[in-house]
Amino acid sequence: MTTNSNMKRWIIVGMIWTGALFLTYWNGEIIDRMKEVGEKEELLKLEERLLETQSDKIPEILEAFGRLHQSVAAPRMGLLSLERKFYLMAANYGLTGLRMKIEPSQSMENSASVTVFFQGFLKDTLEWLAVLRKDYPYLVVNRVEIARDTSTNKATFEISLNYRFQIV
Amino acid sequence: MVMFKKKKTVVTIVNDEKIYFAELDHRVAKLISQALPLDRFLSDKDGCPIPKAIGHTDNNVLLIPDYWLGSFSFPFQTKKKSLVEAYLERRLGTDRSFATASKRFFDYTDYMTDQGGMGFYAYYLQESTFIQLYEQLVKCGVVPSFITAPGLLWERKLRSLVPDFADGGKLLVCLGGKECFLYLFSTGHYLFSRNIPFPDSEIESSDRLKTITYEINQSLYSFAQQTKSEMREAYLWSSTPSQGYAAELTEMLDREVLDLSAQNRDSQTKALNAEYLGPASLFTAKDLSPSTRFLNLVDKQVKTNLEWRPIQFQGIVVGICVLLLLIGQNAFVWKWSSPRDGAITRRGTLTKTRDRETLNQYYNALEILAQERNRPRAGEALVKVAQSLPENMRLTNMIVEMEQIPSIYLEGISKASGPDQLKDSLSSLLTGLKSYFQESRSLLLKDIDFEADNRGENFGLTTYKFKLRFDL
Repeated sequence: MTTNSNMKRWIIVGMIWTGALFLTYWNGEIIDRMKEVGEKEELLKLEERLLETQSDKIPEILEAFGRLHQSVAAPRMGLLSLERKFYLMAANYGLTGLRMKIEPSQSMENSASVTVFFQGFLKDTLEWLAVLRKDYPYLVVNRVEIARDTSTNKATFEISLNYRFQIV
Repeated sequence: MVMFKKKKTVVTIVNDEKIYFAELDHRVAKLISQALPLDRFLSDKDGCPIPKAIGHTDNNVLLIPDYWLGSFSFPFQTKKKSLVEAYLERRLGTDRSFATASKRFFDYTDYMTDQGGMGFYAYYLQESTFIQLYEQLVKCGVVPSFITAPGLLWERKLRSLVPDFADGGKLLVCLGGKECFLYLFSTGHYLFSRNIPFPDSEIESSDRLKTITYEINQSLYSFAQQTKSEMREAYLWSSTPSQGYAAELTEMLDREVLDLSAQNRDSQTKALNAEYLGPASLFTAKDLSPSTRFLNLVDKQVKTNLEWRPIQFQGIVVGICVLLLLIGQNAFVWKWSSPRDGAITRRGTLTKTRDRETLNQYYNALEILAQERNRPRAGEALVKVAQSLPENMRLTNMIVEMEQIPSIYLEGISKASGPDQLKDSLSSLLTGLKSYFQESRSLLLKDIDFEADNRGENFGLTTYKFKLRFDL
């Protein structure tokens, strides 16, 4: 009888504390969920405010982002037009022996690796690179290698570019 | 609520081959049964001849006669409960000099030996009838949680009434209506008792005292033999006003007998005062209550359960409080969460539109544009390198790497009159590079690989080749 009562008391203690543990867990779950809801709510408010206050800047940003990719009907078409532009520019900046090597990009979709070889002065090449940066945002310079002939001051350039396009 | 109701205590009293049941309710002890012959109670195999008034309770006290108890003392080095109990169980189970009813039922107290060592008084049950009684009580649902004897109850009571109770030998003379009980204690521990019946109630008071004195002297002799010491103090306890018995006993025993009965008068509780209960008739509800913490000879398992009981109750009470708090918290957070959940759902639905798409595009565009802005520029790097070069240096080869780990590799020649001028030129190059490129600030001369060109001197100047790499 005493042992039974003792066992009953332990069972009651166990049940009460199991209930307490379960409630602690449940309350914790509700509080965590509410925290998440609060954060989500805050984020939504911020985004709503952002949409209101930045309504004129958002299109600008999206447009600037759009310029990072050239819209082309087919990649080959884009590369042909690029080759043509390079030859014209080379003539303008006195760069000679222009040659291009094109490979599909390994790392990115909608991009191609373009390597340009030519001879010229450093000063002219720097100007050419500045124009490239300003007017061709879809071309990213990955690598520049210069081998210089000390007797003529002319150099051989090997410039690796990443050409980003978007098929429309 | 039943859990918090104070449970009643049922006391089973065994006296003079009869069994009685009493109930302790708060401060009152009252008998709830007539005398039941013990042999009839034990031989009743089919039913349980106990009063119906006894309900189920865990607080059952069994008060057995003193002569059912056996005792012995022994020195022991440690007070550790598990070791003492294991030793006692083994000794009671194997030592044939003890006529133990069972090795399971015992209790003990500690004392300091004359040599200053640790010793224990152990009490056990030596009456074989006890096991039959215990089993019958278990069968009837009145499982004893506390088993004790009058001598042990007096030991507990005198400990609080007599300040130097633990010093030397003590004698207690208890005067009942038709009986006198002698209790002998050594160093605060119950040793043995004597029962002196007065068969004729009309017997003269002086004759009674003579009988008592004779029995006391016999008991003192026995005490001296057992303890090898003399009795120090004697006390008197009477159920009725003692009518100067203390003074008469003092005279007859030739030693002072102190009357403790006066201390009983102010007690709010009343003794059972039923003469047929024998020594139990002198105890009050308070004396018999388990809260008095008298020696308890109940078996180890029950004792362990009793020790856990307050912890269980604390666990239940604290647990219920915590549970109620958590239920309150749950109700609060649940109520608080419901409207917020609804609001976010409505808001979320609204934003799953074109605005969401625009925002996603906007975030993506911002990230990519920021990356583009932070990317090192090849043209600028070339200009900075050119500006860092001293006049007597020319570059022959240069690689500007922009992918993965952006870096610059330089290869060139320097014309110098000797190593000192070369050192100056290279230092000048490093100073120039450090001013333009943050990552090159850790560059040192030792990082530049250089060698003399063996094609000979030109106008007294030696041509040196150098190579250098640094991260952007």
